[in-house]
Amino acid sequence: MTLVYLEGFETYGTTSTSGSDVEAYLEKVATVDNGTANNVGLIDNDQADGTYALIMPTTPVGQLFDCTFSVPAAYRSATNGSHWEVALGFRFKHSTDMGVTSGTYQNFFRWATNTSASGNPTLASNDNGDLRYTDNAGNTTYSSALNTDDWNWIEMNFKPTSSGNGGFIILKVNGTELLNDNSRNILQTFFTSEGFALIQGQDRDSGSGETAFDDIYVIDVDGVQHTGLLGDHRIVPMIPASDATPNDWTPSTGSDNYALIDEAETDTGDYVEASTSGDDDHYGITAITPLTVEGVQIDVDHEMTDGTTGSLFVGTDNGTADEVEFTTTNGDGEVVARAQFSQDPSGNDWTPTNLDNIEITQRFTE
Amino acid sequence: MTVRTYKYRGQALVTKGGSNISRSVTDAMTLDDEAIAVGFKVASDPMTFAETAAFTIEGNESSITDTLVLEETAVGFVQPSGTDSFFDELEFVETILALPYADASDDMDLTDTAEAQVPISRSQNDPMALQDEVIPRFFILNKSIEDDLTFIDSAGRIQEYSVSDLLDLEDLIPFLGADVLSLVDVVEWGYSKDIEDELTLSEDIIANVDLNKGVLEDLGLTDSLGYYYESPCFRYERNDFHGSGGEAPTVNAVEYSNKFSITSLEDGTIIQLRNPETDDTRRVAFDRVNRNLFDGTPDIYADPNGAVERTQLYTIVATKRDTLDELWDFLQVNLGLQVIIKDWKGVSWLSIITNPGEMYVEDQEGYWTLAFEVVGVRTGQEYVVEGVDLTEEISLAGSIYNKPVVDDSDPESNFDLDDDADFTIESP
Repeated sequence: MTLVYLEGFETYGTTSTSGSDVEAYLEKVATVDNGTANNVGLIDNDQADGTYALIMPTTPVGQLFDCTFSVPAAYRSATNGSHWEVALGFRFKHSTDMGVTSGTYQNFFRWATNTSASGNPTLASNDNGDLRYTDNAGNTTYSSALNTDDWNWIEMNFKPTSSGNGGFIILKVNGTELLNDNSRNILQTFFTSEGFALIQGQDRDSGSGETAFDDIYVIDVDGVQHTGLLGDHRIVPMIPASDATPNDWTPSTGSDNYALIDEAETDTGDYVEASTSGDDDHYGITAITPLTVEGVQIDVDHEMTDGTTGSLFVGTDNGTADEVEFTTTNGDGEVVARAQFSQDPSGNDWTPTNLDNIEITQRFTE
Repeated sequence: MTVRTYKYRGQALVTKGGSNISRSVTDAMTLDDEAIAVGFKVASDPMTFAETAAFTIEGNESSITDTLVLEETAVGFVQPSGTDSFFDELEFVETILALPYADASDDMDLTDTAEAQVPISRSQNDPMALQDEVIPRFFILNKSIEDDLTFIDSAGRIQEYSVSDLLDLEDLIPFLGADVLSLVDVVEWGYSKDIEDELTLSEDIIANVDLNKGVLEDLGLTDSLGYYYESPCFRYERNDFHGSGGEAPTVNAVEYSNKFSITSLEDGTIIQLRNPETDDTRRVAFDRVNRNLFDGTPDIYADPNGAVERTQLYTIVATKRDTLDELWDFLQVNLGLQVIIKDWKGVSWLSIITNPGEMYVEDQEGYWTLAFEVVGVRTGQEYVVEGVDLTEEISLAGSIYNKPVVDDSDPESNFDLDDDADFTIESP
């Protein structure tokens, strides 16, 4: 299994962060093409664990807001027949006061392409908790499939192409399989750019309710088709909690490097700095004790302030180092290097034990 | 060239139950209920306990785990002479009710122990009632029911008694050989059960070895006996007859081959002097029986065996000083004691030394003359001092004519010879 995309909204900041901050942060992530994302915010995900979720704001009637996340280019299809198979999941909370009465639906998820939305796999809901799935083959509705005013976890495994090219869909809501169709016209033609959108506001009539999203994952099941859905899941923060060895970077103040970069909301007033090629910092992380671990994603919000170009290596280390190289260029301003790790540095599948055993690292070279 | 990092955070994709996310309900309850009675108090400790764990099942959750740990201890200190009773009743009921489409597994482990460390006269009761039921509800045809009941009820009594098991084993290997002795002696004891443990062990080792040792024993045996020539007539005798008339005895040659010797009958000391010198004299004083015939004519009685002389005065000349001293010591020691004198003619005299000599004269330098006087009688035998010729006939008691009155038909010889050789072989 290869981790393609991960978003638990744990790296944006606190609940005071406005949608513009989220948008601004996403714009700093080189692998994410953010859409309008206006006025999105962060809320406590209501699971009593202190982590965050993305909330879609109250939308005026007839307005549309979406927060788009693009699939990396390597996973975008080249032909209909060779389109890759997608497994994704996310958590979704729907208010009962969306002004979407029975019989009508409001889209909240779309697998987007570079052309119109017609024929794209889409999920929609209403105030009664009814769910509607739409693709090129048509609509399918499921009465009371969603919990209202409560979280639902939604997973889809599909190949967005025509039935003649292996198009299929598996849809599960709260663990219950609602749709499993191995011959389905999802999209009739391929597209060169793809992503997905978390949307709200389309076709809204009235009401003041909000929708919320959390714990988004997109994975490549590495050729194993019609499988790969992870079930109910979470995305939890990995926060630097201690300085490990080596500890080469220079703190802007004090002596604890990790304490200057562990914030939820980016603070450019304190930082750690590397000025010598080869400077390497390792940090220990707070212990995480999940049932299973599927993948790790690290965001490094950084800026090159002097020189021309260099390389920032973001990685994990358990005695063996696993790094992803990012090119940093003076003048690009503040950028987020986002690296994903589907396995531990030794090449083994992640487990709670080997996750707690790693150090997270950053290394700079000229 | 400078790079600054403002924020470094990661995210981990985990399945349900991740960090700080609690989706399970744990209901652990430990109940400790004690009733302690000291002295003559009666302790009653009824305990009623009910625990319920309610779960909200979401999604694919289909199992319920309900662990109930209950421990009840009732401790009583019972006086040895008292009549206190001690009861510990434990009732435990555990029920798991599962919703449909779920498996119901009800594992109930119950251990009920009543342990009493009491004097012998105490009784110990440990009744345990156990009921284990698996009740399927919403029975589905393709479900199976398993009900394993394992029940162990033990009532034992622990009493300490001393058990003495003495095993004394001695295994000796005196020399060489290989001796492997394996002995197991187990003494088990139980209350009101006699125990006897007799262990008989017998092990023999037979080793044939070459000692290469010699046993030497010098048997020193000395047996002395006096013996006599059966007949002294082997010796020629001097004709001591004097006078006329009668038939003259045969003139016999006189032998002077014997050394003069004196033998002490007290300690066996023997003094031997050289052969006689020409000046050696012996003056013999004897008693002669003279008889007068009726006409007054003396008649000399001639004894063909010679006169029984009484007094002999021996004068020994040319004696060397060491011999002289030796003879002087002998005469002094055996003064008045019986000695046997064997004169130069080989005639043995049973004598008593009466005078060891009053003066010894050194006639010439280194040569002395001595004289001593004895009284004695001539023995009928010849006392043999030196070695015996094997052709000569000897006897213990001497001449058959002069033997003491004993039964010689079966001569006694209290001569026992036992020879024991004890030796010790030391181990190599």
